[in-house]
Amino acid sequence: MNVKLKLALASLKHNTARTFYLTVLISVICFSVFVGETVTSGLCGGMESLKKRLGADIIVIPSGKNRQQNFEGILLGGKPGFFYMPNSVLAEISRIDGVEMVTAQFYLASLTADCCSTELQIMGFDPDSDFIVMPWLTKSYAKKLQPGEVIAGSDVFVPKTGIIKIYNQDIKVVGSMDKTGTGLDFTVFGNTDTVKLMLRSAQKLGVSATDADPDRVVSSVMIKVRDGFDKSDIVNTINRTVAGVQAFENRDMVISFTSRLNHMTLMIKSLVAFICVLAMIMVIFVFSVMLNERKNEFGVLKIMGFTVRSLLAVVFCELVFICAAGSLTGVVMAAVWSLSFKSFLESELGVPFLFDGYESFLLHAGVTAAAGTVLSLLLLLPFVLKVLSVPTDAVMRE
Amino acid sequence: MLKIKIADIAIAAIEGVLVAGLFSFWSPCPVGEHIMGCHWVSNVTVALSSAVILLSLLKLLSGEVLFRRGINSAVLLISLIQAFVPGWLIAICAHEHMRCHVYSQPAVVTVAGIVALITIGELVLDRKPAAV
Amino acid sequence: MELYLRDVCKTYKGRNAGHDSTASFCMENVNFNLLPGKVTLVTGCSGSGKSTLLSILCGLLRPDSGKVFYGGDSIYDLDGHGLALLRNAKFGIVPQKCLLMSSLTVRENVMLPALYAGKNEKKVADKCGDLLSCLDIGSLSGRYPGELSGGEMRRVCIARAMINEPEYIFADEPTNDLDENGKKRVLSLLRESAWLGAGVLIVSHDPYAVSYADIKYGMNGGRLL
Repeated sequence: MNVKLKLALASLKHNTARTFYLTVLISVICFSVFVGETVTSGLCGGMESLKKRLGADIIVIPSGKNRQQNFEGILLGGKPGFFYMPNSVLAEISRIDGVEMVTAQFYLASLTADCCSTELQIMGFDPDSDFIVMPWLTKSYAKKLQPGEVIAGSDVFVPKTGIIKIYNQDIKVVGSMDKTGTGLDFTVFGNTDTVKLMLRSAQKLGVSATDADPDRVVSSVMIKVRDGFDKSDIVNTINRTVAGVQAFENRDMVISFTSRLNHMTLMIKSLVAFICVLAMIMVIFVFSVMLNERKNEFGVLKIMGFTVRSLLAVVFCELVFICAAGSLTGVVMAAVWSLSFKSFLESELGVPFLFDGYESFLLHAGVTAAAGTVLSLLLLLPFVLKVLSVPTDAVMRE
Repeated sequence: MLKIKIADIAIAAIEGVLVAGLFSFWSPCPVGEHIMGCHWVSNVTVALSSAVILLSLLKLLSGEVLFRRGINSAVLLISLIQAFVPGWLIAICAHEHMRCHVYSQPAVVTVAGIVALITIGELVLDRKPAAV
Repeated sequence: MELYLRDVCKTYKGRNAGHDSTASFCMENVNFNLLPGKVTLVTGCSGSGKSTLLSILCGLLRPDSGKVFYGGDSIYDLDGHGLALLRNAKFGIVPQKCLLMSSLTVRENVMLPALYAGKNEKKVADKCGDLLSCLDIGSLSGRYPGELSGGEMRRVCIARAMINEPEYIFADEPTNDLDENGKKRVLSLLRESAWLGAGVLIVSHDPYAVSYADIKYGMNGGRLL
């Protein structure tokens, strides 16, 4: 083995405590960066996914306290809910100038049967007028949905039989959607007729929270505005002229989500930066102390005839081992942590969270490990050069 | 050495928190008509945690370096096995958003990981006999 | 090849000038030849410039003026890289402050300069064994420097300086920390090296070394006497 490599390995092995602490500090840096990156990219991915699925310009829901929060909860966090307004609002809204297309949606929430089942959001849409749900549903199922058929969100548990029971109705799941990272992953989508059937069944069983006639109500109205018309004017017109509803622009909702997301990502990035800076300061401190302690050793090596280049190679080898070991350890721990907490983050954050695919995840892991190694080396190199430039003759004297 | 004793107590405490959690805030589904996989995960995890707690307390009593290294090796092995119990050694719910996936598995993996790291640190750094 | 100083001057403030930090130390127009095959001893009190002379001669301290010649070429015309390679190949240096690599065993410390020079590991190992036996520290080959006494460390330093069979050996206070037996072994080994053709420079104020020297100089205030 090359004598410089031998010297580096011997130094690492002999000073196990120092090697251990430096490795731990660097792994803390890489762990924080990778976890921060995983969480923030998941949040951004979820947000992008949600934006893609909000096809309406204006959304109209029943007026009432916390109604908009309920609606956001359905979209964001998979918190099933339902609300209803008279279906006459559909005709009233269609008559307003500037409204190009309208479509109604019908919401229902299932019951939780036992510990192993979760509440599902049930969303009914009108296949004749819908322009929101159909574009992305057809990716999972190209045929027309028949009564009693649904398409399930990615996180809806579907037994092998393909039949789920909702309010005593056997519902056939004919397709499954890709993961969106939003509340839509816990949603089943069917025709309005199918959903109304479930509501009637719930009312018959006496477990429904509403006794509204399913044929006379809708949950929300989605509006596409004609080009050249001001969306906020139409929102104001609807709020003024249509009783019992509240309208808001899709854009306002997105801005609100994005603002919350930005706060969250800023907090995460600040925390990661704080941890990294703290750890880097400690790395520099420990490393400087270590180098100063070895000043005389480097002097003796120079006396023996080691060139500065060789000494640099020795210290560089040590650094590469420490930085690479620390980076890899940090990234592996972060990967294990991220994968373990994936389900927790997806269900408990309350905001859209779309975990990157495994290929992208591994690529990020590799890049973080490599960047961690290189940056740590670059950070510590000036200190090495400073110590190696100490005059050799100083070692000769007491 | 005081640091080593603090590490041993920390390991016992962390595993104790895990056991307490498995009986409370991150408990698996209760036993009903059928027994879910997470029930067995919980039982096995509690058993392994108890073993780690006992070994850590035993280590506090000894000043022999080799004895402590042996115990540390055993604790490391047990904690690594413990991390693989939920979801790998014993299958849990298929539904990714059930309690076992959202709470129990992350808790077990985190605790097992922390214990493994502390133990690796002890194995690397514990070379001197502990002051009795 | 010949090694000699011509008109070497070196001045620096504060150090080696008693405890007066404003005083300056000066070595002026020193001429010196280190002869191969001879043991040359330079004595003098502390601060007289013995270590400075040794450092300049072996390429560790650049003089303010004057030249140091090895084989007819000025060694300080070489860059740091060239000087280091020269020291490794041709010189063996025993510093006053006995420092060993704490992460290497005694054996590994002694073999280090030779392995760095690219010599055969087995031959170097054999030579190492011989040197350690000569210095009566053969039983310590597997120990680490932290486990050695001052005298043992000094003998390891001497073995390390000789492992490469250098043309010139520079020893600064080689008998410090040694008992009479140890001094005998060290000085005998240095004299043997001289008999084999090496030029040996011993800088010491130990009177025991006088009887082992072929040429003796005194040094006072930066001047050779």
